[in-house]
Amino acid sequence: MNLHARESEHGADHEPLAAKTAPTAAPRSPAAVADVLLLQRQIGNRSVGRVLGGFRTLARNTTTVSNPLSEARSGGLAPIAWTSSYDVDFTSTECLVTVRVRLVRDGDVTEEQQRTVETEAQNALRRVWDRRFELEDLDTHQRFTIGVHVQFVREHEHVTVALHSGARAQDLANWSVQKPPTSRAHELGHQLGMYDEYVDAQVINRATATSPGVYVDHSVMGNYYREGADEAVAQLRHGVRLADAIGRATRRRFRVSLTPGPGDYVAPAGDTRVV
Amino acid sequence: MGDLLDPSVSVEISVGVEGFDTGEITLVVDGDGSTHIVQRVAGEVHERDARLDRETHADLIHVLTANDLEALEPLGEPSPPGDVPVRVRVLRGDEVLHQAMLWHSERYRDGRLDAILRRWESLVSDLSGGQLP
Repeated sequence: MNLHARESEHGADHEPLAAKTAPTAAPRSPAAVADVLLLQRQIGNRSVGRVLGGFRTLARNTTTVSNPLSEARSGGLAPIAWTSSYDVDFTSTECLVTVRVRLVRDGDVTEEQQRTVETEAQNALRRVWDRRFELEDLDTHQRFTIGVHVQFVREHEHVTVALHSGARAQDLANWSVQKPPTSRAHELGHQLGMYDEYVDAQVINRATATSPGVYVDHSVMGNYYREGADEAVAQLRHGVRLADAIGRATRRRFRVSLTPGPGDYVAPAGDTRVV
Repeated sequence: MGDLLDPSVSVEISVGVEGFDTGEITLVVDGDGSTHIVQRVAGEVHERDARLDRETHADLIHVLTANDLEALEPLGEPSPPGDVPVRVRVLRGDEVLHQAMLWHSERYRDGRLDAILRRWESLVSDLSGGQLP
């Protein structure tokens, strides 16, 4: 697998947010207040507090992680390919991962349905991915909990997702309103750099139940429809991939460990890997 | 082209992968309007038989011909993760008159495939009492 992390320090779409949301910014404009309210709706009060707390102690230093990923199919079929991308900010105690999604609904999808899907996605991402992993910087020995959030935006998106009616098949770029909330955490898992982990006869690495890319351990990237959507979790290997990509982009080395979570049936808490 | 109007011709359309979600669902429609649905999901096979009334059958054939079912080809471009195959076969007995393996996400770039899949979805839903797809 060819993983190329691209680091970019960009401020245009983040500095205004930092300035608007920092407690010392004065005076707050209605737009700034609206931004904070929007953030509170999208990622929750506690999370906004954590973000603001981070800005109080550290200068904003956003890194965009961007990795082209692919999976080969057999029989000369075109591959699966996408670019995993998201922003990373370090506070004194947290590594904040933010995925910005531009959700574009079809004409037969209502605004209310879109809001419901957005809420589902935020909640599912929080349950499965947020505060699931802890990083230890191998050089400074600082520890960071990985916070994962999704923001629904109209511009500066990492990924554009079309929202369709009904329960039709989904992929990273196409969601359906009637699919279960866990599917949002699954699809956004791709945006975080994760591969599917269920059997797909056309995909070389997942062609059979014994293929190396197939897991049956309540993985959110596996067949959670069969194993139980409510029990779907992010496993340590996902944290390793996340830490690896973040480490490459920020030129840091991490040890990653799993924090215990509800519904965690398989991977033992405290298990650690060095990336 | 025009095979779909032949009453001895059957059409098979399969969507999905067996190992995920509702699995692979195949709808077979014979020239006399009889239908067969096969759902392969996580090692299990569920089958249902039914017959379309004359009007529904004629409408289906119209949708399939108007949207060039027998001319659809894969776009040959990479798929997003999670995309699933759409297999199309047109048969006369054991003879394969046309077959193509497309990808579900291609419906959003090819309105003909979208129209066909919309009809497929509504038929499968009706024939399964709303349990599928």
